[in-house]
Amino acid sequence: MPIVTTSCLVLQTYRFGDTSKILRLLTFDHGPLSALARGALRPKSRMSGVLEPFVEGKATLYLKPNRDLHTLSGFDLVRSRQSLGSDMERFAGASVLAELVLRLAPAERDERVFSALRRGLDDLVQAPPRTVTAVSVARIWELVRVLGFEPALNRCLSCGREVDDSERARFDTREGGVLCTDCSASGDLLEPAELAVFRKLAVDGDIAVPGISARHVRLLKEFIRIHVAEDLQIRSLEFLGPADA
Amino acid sequence: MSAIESLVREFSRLPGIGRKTAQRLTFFLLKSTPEDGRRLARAIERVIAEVVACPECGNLSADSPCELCRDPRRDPSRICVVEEASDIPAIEGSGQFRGRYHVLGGHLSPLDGIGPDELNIASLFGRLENGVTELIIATNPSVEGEATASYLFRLAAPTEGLRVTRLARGLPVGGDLEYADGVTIAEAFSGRREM
Repeated sequence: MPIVTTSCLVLQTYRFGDTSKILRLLTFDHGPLSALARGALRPKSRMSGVLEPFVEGKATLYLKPNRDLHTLSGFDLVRSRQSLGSDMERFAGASVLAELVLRLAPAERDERVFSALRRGLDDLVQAPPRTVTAVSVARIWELVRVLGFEPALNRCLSCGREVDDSERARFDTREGGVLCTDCSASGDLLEPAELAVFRKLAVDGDIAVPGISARHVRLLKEFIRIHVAEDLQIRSLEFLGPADA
Repeated sequence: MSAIESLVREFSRLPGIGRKTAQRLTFFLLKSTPEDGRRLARAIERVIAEVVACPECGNLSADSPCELCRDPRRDPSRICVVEEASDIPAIEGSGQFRGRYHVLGGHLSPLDGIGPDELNIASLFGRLENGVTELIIATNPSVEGEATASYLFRLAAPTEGLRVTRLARGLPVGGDLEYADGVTIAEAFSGRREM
């Protein structure tokens, strides 16, 4: 049974019995895995206040070959990110990032997924209140790209013509990209400014972009449901963004 | 399926009980007198038949409203919000609170699909209109509990004449600083007070 120490992000926790917790982790060296933290809920445990969702630390694990549940023997806190619970929108954004990783991350080490999740959580912690929606949407798009999905926003999916910043275009969620107004009469008609914001969020990962609307949040949710999650249900998506999104 | 296997399976569905413990409980019952087993069965049946959620506060009780809501000696101007009914005995055991309770039935957890609509929140704000002067938020000190507390605070803060408070966090009494985790020590520092 090898003992390993690795950086990790806590994605989700469950109570196990009266005093223990089961953790879903994204580890830097071994990808996603589950671990049992025995006694973590005991008041005198060094891990009692530490093993919470979104926390980052160095975990020492007994890895059991051919088993799904490993054992956590130590955890050194690097960053707690407790303030992600300070408002519902921040909390929902962090939850979507964690759930996408839980459901879709590759089973082995993937530095890009780890970095995208860590950056997303850090940016959400630091985001001023009025920018939380933009930060959530931009960082979720970044994670979606790292997971291998990207909307086509620069060229019409039908005729291949470049759609420049001065023209309107339609975003067809099912097709996964934009269509010029000559090629399509269906889908969300985006004004040039809306399309520019969409590109900054979804392609450039610009978290300081002003002008984000409920429609940008809705298109992200629809894209994930149709292209990324497919048959999987990403429950936390429902809570993302403004209520009218 | 045999009767023994059926009972083992039912016990093992309970939280914190694995198959081995379920087997041990089953064989313990088989070694006990038949009356012991019947008494357990009757107690389970009675709980299922009699215990309901209090329509006022959501506490679990055989009475409706529950004994805490009916007690005229309790202060109706202070409401303590807890996640689960099982949190109430812990607070009652402290002897520090003589107001009323409100049980949410869980905490916000987008990952589990639990949002405000899934919790007992709407009825809380109906209760605040009846002369409540303090809302004490006693959700767990976890990130989910904190998100739930922040959500309730945002909704309750505009209510005129209402003070919204949160239970303090920090080092446990009788604990040892050396063994405390970093987050708890940080919370204890940020919540330190004048002596």
